[in-house]
Formats: sequence, C-alpha cells, structure tokens
Amino acid sequence: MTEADPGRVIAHVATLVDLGRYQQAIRQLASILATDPHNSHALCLLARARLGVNDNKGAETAAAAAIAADPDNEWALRIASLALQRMDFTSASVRMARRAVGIAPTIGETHARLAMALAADNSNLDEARHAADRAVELNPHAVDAYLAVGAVALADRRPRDAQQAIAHALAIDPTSAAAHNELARTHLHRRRFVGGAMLGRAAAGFGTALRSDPNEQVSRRNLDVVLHVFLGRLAYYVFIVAFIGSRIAAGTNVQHAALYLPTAALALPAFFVTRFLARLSPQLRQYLWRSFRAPLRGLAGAALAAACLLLPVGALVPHNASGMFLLPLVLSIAARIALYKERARAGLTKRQRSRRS
Amino acid sequence: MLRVVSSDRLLESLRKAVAADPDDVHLRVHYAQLLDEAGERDEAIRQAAAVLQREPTNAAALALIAQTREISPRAESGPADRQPEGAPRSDDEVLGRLDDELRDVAPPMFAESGAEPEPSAPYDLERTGLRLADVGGMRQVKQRLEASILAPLRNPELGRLYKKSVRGGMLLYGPPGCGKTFIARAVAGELDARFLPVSLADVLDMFIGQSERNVHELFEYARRNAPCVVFLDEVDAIGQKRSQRRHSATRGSVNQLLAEMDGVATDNAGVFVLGATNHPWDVDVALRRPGRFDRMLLVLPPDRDAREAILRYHLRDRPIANVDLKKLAKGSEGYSGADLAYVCDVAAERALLDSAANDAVRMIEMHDLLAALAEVRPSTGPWFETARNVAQFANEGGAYDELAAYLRQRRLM
Repeated sequence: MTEADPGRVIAHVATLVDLGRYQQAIRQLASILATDPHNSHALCLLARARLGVNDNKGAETAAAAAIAADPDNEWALRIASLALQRMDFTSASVRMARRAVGIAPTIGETHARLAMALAADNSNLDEARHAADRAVELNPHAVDAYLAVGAVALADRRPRDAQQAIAHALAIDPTSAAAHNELARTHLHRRRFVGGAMLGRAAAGFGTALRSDPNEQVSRRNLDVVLHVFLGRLAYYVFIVAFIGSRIAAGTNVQHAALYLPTAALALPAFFVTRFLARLSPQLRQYLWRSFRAPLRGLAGAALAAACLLLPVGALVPHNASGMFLLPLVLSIAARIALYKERARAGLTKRQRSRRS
Repeated sequence: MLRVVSSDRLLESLRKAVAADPDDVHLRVHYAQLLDEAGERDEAIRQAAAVLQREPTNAAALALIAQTREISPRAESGPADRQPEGAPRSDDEVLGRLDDELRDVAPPMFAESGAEPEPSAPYDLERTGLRLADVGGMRQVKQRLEASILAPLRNPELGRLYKKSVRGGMLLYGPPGCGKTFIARAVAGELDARFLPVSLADVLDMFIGQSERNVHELFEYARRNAPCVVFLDEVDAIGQKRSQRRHSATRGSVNQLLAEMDGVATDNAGVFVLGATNHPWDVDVALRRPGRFDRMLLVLPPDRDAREAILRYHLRDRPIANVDLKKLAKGSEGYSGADLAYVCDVAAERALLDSAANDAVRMIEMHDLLAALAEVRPSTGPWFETARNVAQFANEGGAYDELAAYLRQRRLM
C-alpha cells in the first residue's frame, strides 16, 4: 500500500472500520485527507470511525464536511443525523435524515434512520411509523430496520409491538447486542403491579447484550440504571409500609393485632425482591451484590435492610410503636437520598441517560 | 555567559543528547563532525552511517564518510602514491567500497540497470536473540510459558511420557502496551526458532480471496523456514468473529486461518503460532478450540519488578541523577510498559526544556520523573472497563478466570 494509491488506502480503511479498528482508521485517513481534504468518501469513513469512538461532535463535523463536498452523499447525511441525535439535537437530526430519504428513497437505511430520528425526537410518530415500515419493506433482512420499528413503537408507548419487532431482529441476528439492549429497554416500559419481574428481565437483557458485545458500555450503564431503579422502588415500598405502620400506631384505641399489619405488609417488598432476583443469572446476582461496594449504594442497602428488620419490632413494643415505626420511615427516606446521590455521581440521572441510550 | 567546555566533555554531552534523541539527524551530524575533528574517525563513520540510515541522502553525512575514508587509509598507510594492494584507486572505487561497508546499515540508493532484483522475502524473518530472562518481572507469565510450551519442547521425552503435545498455538491477551510482542519474541528466542511477525496490514486485503491467499502464503513461508514462531499481532482483526464481519472480502480469512492452523493438507511440524490481542472476546470461538489457540495467557500491566526494569531500560542512556527507581516503580501501579516509556520521555523533555531555558545542561532528576508520573495517566483504563464486562458477564467456561481474579484483587470488579 503506497501513498500514491489512495483508492487502496480508502478500501483498507473501510475494512478497518468494518473491524471496529476506529483509531487505526482515523490515523490512516489523516494521510488521505491531508492530500485530498474534500474526499467525501474518506470524510464519511472518518465520521463513521469517530462515531465508533463516541466522538459525536467530531463525527458531525466530518459528516458536514462530506456533505459540503458532495451534497448528495446520503451516507454522510445519515451519519450526521445519528451524531446530532446522540448530541440531543433531535430536530436537526430529523432534518438530516429527511434529506437522506429525499436523495435515496430506495435505500432502506435512510428510512430506518429517519424513523429512529423521529422516534428520538418524539414527534410526528405517524411519519416515523411509515418510515420504519418502508425500511422493512425495502430491506426485510436488516436488523436495523426492525430496530427502527421497535424504537418507534416504544416512543408510541406500544412496548408489546416493540418487543415483537425486536424479536424479529433477534431472529435475524441472535448475537446482536443492540437488539438485546433494545429488547431490555422495552421491559422497562412495561408497567406491571410491583414490577419486579419486568425489572429483572430488563437486567437480564442488558446482561445478555453485554455478553454478546463486552465493548457495549451503553448496556452496562443501562444495567446500572435498572439496579438503581430496583433499589429506588424497594426504598419506596419500604417507605409506604413504614408510613402505614406509623399511621396505625398514631391512631387512638389501636388493637395490638393491628400493629402486626406492617409486618405482614412487608410481603409486598419481599415479593418484589423475589420476582426481581428470580430473573437474574448467578453472574448478575453476584454483580448486584458487588455493586453494594459503592459507598452510597452500600449505605442505601444497609438502611433498607435495617428498616425491614425494624418494622416487626414496632409490633413487639406496643407502648412505643409510633416511634419504632418512625425509624424505618426515616431510614427509607435516607436510602432514597443516598441512591439519588449515587445515581448523580455515576452519571445515571434521566438527563444523562437519555443522551446515551 | 561564555562557557569554556573541554572537547571531551562536549563530546560526552553530545553523546548523551544523541542517545536521548537518536532520530535528531542534525544533532548526530554535528556529533559526527566533532568526532572526526577529535580524531575518532571510526566512531564518526558509525554516526554518519546512522544518519544515512535515517536520511539516506544527507549530504553532510555522505561528505563526512567520503572524506573520512579518504583520509583514513592515507593516515594509516603512508603517502598516496604508495597505496597498499586492495586500496581503492578512484572515486568510484572509494564509493563502491563505502557501499560495501554500509550495506548492512543503509540500503543501496540506486539499483543497477540490467541486474535482476533479488526476490524479496514476503515477510520479515528474524532471529530475536531474546530470552525470557530478558523480560523483567512477570514471574507468573514466565512460569505459564515454561509449563505450557517451553518445558515440553525442551524435554520431548517427558512430553511423550505425559502425552503433552505442543501442537497448536497460544493466545497472548491483555491491555495494550504491556509487552505481548516482546514476550513472543522472547519465546522465539527460547525455542531457538525464527520469528515471523505478521500484522493486520500484511494479511488483510480488500480484494475477494486475496486475504485468504495471503494467509496461505504466510503459513507456507513459515513451514519452509521451520522451526519458526509465527506471531499474529492483533489476531482479533484477522480472526474476528465471523458474525461481526460485514465485508465479504475479509470473511474468508478466518476460515483460511483455521485450515492452516489445523494443517489438514500440510504438516505444521516446527511451526508454532503465537497470537496477540487486546480483544480476545472478539476472536472467533472456532479459533480457540483445541489444536488452534487453545491456550490463553493473560499479559497484565507489569508488576513492580518489571516496572523497575522497564524504567531502568528507558533511562539507561539518559543523563540521570539521584533517581530512586524503586519509588517510581511503587508509584506506577497499573501503568503499561508503553506508559512508562512515555513517562521517561516526558521527564526528559522537562529537563531538556529547563536546560534550554537556563542555558545550562542539567540531569533528569527524581522530581522530573515524579512530575511526569503525575502528568501521564495509565492508558489501560478503557481496556479494563471492557475486561470487567467480560469477566462479569461473558466468562463462560472460566476462560477469563485469571482476568477475573486480577480484577477482584485490584478491586476493579
């Protein structure tokens, strides 16, 4: 391979991008672009490689340069759309995707991109649905087309339809980490009573995505979010039980038997925890257990455990039951605060999350 | 302020400067000229040759060599009209002789017309001359290598007794810059075999079928040159999971690699394959089956002994004073070999800039190295992020138990 043979270098770089050797590809492209800065294909490859290393701004800049060099380059428009979407500029992302569709209406990828962009923008979902259907029509064997259908269904609050679409994608490529990640996300959108099982399934799904592709850090963050949601909900249930206990104890002429009611109500969080843990693989349970090493999460776990242990004590000390129920109440609130702080520290708040998933 | 520096001291300072930055051609030319003036002609020629190695057309170096070699015979053998037999008689002869002498340092600039070019070998083949003893620290890695490859090869009788075969290959994996290539070279040296390093660019080709042909030719070449250690660097790129590949032009390379490693049609006796990768989880599972890369060896960031050895190596030709290597090694836990080399570079750069600013040469001192250590962060972090996912979620069959144990030990998991 010589410098005088840019076509060969570009083909080699395309192979490197295909192999996920993004840094290597970026280095090799530098020599091509130094001599031919308006090479649209090379700029597209650079943008794609930058997306691969999560340099969204750099990807957008390279894609914009490719578009300036060749305004009809639909690939550059698609890359720009994805980069903009990742940076939360969803309206601009939709505009780019629409231009790509206008240039290449017979290419399924452009429709899939438009559907994804519209779903992320959460606007014009009818158009999004139409674009996703068209993507499937044009390319019925593409994983991305079905993922687009799933993303639109999810934005449209139809998690069951989203699951079906993603199941199609997994039938085409059972090892697709992106499909496993998306399937797990749909479980988070299905609200069920108490919801332990769905959370457990979501956690297991993210675990599967990580097994398929350990490089996929988004799935890892999503898994951490699920664990936070699990602990947060648990703290909420414990709070409710403790609150009920404290109200009962505060009443006049309280029957002693009534003080056992909060203890019985502990069945609710116990049921939630059991349903959640039952869906986890041994590795995931181990991961959950180890995650308590994080100081704030460990503190929250300890506070919740202490609250659950103190709830039956209220019934055993009837003369001071009100005070005894107050302590679990405070502990559950403390656990909730600690979890929130840990979540912010780990960059897992809703705002931080929406940019990545 | 004018400084009077003795010729010897100046030459010594220049020698250190050249050692610290061997690619600075101007500095080396200047050093060679001063050596020539000081009468150290052999060393001057050596330095000029090193310049030509980096810049084959450097006029100053060429002139210096020509001038030095012209003077040399006269000085040694008396007047020009009493040349000894075999001494060059014309400019062409002088240059021809120079060409002969420098053939091993600089390639010829022009090919003679009509002469058939010697068929060049498709791959670089070398005798490394390294031994595992040259690898600093890494006791566990050496023990594993000894047990799985070296001992059975050194003791074929015992190997036969215990039915221990050394067929197949070994996959070295670990974070980047931690010495996988160096270890592979040392293994080749221990086996007294030729070392055949192969990179991604040597094998992969955009044209359909060409990558497979390249892989086949590589193994054929290795078989012709047995005993030989074939070292496949970045084997995850050559043997990536077929499900992850979209380019049909490169998909076949894995199949070809499998066929060659199995040696179905040919005999792989004397060919040992070592692979190195930062992403073993991306390697096609078929490649990790028995008879192929069935042994995996984790090459971690260097331990304290190794770090000390690496720091010593990178500081060996630099002007240093009062450097406590033990303290540096202790404070550089988690740094790769490449990181440590960079730390030494940064420290040298600090001392150099300081010397230039104050117009007085000073040594690299401990505070330079400590500041460099604080400035350079270990580059292995992202690798361990992914490795943690593997150890936690993809450790099926215990393939990554060693990695998991290390992560637990360092509380990274």
